[in-house]
Amino acid sequence: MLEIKGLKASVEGKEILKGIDLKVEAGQVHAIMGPNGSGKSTLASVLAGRDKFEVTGGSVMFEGRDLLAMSVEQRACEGVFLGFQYPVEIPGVSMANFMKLAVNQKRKYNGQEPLSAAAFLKMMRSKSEVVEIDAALTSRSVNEGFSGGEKKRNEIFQMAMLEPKLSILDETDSGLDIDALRVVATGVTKLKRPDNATIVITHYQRLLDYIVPDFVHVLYKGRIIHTGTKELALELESRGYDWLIKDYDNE
Amino acid sequence: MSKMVRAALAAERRGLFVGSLASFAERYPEVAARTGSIVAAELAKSVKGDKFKSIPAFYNREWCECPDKERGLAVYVPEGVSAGEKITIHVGGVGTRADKYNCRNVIVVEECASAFIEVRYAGGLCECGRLAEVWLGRGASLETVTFFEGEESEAVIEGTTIVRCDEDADYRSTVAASGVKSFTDNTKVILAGRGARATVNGAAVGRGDCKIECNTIIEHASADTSSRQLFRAVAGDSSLVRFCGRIYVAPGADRIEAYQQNNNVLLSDRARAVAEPRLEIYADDVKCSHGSTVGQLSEEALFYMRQRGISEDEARKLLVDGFIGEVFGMMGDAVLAGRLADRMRL
Repeated sequence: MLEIKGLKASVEGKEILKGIDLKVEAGQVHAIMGPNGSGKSTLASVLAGRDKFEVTGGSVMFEGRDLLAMSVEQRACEGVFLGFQYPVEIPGVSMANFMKLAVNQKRKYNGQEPLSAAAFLKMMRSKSEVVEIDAALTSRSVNEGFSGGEKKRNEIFQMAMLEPKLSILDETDSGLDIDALRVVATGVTKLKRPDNATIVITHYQRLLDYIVPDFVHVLYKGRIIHTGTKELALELESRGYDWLIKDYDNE
Repeated sequence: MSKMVRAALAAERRGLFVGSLASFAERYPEVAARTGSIVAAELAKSVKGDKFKSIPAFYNREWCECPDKERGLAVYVPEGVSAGEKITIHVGGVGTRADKYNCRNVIVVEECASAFIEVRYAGGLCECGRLAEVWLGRGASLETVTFFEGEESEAVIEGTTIVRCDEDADYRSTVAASGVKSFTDNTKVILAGRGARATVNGAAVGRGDCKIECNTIIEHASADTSSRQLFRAVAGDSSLVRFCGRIYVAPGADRIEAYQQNNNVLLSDRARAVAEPRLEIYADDVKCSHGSTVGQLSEEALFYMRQRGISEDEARKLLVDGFIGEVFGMMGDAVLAGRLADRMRL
């Protein structure tokens, strides 16, 4: 589904990603871990198409097509979803209007008719149950005045609405208490299908108690320095990153 | 005139008066004299630097001497009457193509009465001046909504409204400025009686090389009065939006609250926004605040929306809608609010 080869990216002339290689197949969950400043969020932003970052090398193929050549909205319509670490507040724009436009623009892109108001409402209701989000939130402005937990649930709610092929969740667990974390993680698990894939970017192992990854990658100084299975996350939890970093720094 | 006649008949049934200034003066001479005095008094104490200096020439005449009395319209809501459904004032009508069209309105809402009035500037206008005198009696309540209803045009519109609020009266106004070459709205509210409240809001969308100007003066003449203002403007192309808002708190007008907020978004590097908040406070115990911002649409929000599959163009439109829409969200009439929001859409 996704194939990243030698991806390099920089911001304001400073190289953050120094050659990332990653392959994600349908049905898989990949976790990307690593210390602060290793480039995890940058990788997510580059895949989503944020223009602050300049891609200086490598390639990203998504379903056999050049992802880097697509606009931000094109990537989204093709099925790439980014769960934001800091979801943006949009005053005056209701969740319902926002989601309706998003869903219908995606449908239009795929040559489908827009959803009727009734069908859309029905979809909103059924999807809001997945993430146990209060239906009242959907009549409020996007993320405005939402608590930290509500914002993250709202990200998963949008993911449920848009049914992406590839979801990249950037530190979705940060700032969540244990209950919210469970709800978010359960939502992600419920949305998992054999034909979609998830990349979970996280700092802590605890999210991976709920979302069980097929692969765990350690990102350090802009490169993936180690890849393992879910046991690696447990090992990182007990031993920290130092042993990996030390090996890497000695190389 | 048939519109006016129809309106007059309908009004009569609801226990209120809607008709020409001439017939109003005939029927309610005392009320007419009282309201006429608002303008006279304002002229006498016109402060230097007031935007209200520029009020069109017809301002100086007593309104009952208006050359074309039929152009003047009076709305009178007697004591205790609730006007129910909205009253529409058409400024200029279908087929109005006069080079200059001036009109005066007198609106009186007596003690404990209430009304909702929409003021529509007609599409065919070229150059238009409107002066409205509004008197709210004790405990009266009035909401007004003012907008231009035509297609994009070269019209030049200037409207001035002077409002006097007696004790516990509640005045709420929204002006939606867009679609013309030049739109100026001047609003002065005198909170004359204790407990009087005013909410004065405006939304503007500037396109092409148009100029939109909103000037307000809120005079807290009495203690325990409160006012809120929210003006939001979006300037595209090479348009100019300007807000000049003055809050004046008279000596002894203690325990008043006055808040003013003016936010502007520039959509192009040729567009301009001017914000002039002014506070003049001569009382000691007051809560006053004002804030002005001029900025661009949030890049973060645009990226967020685009990441959900919304095209950049649509995302901009939705953001502008949301920004402007907060003004309409405060209106009492949700249907009209929705229509105005549609009209203001980029």
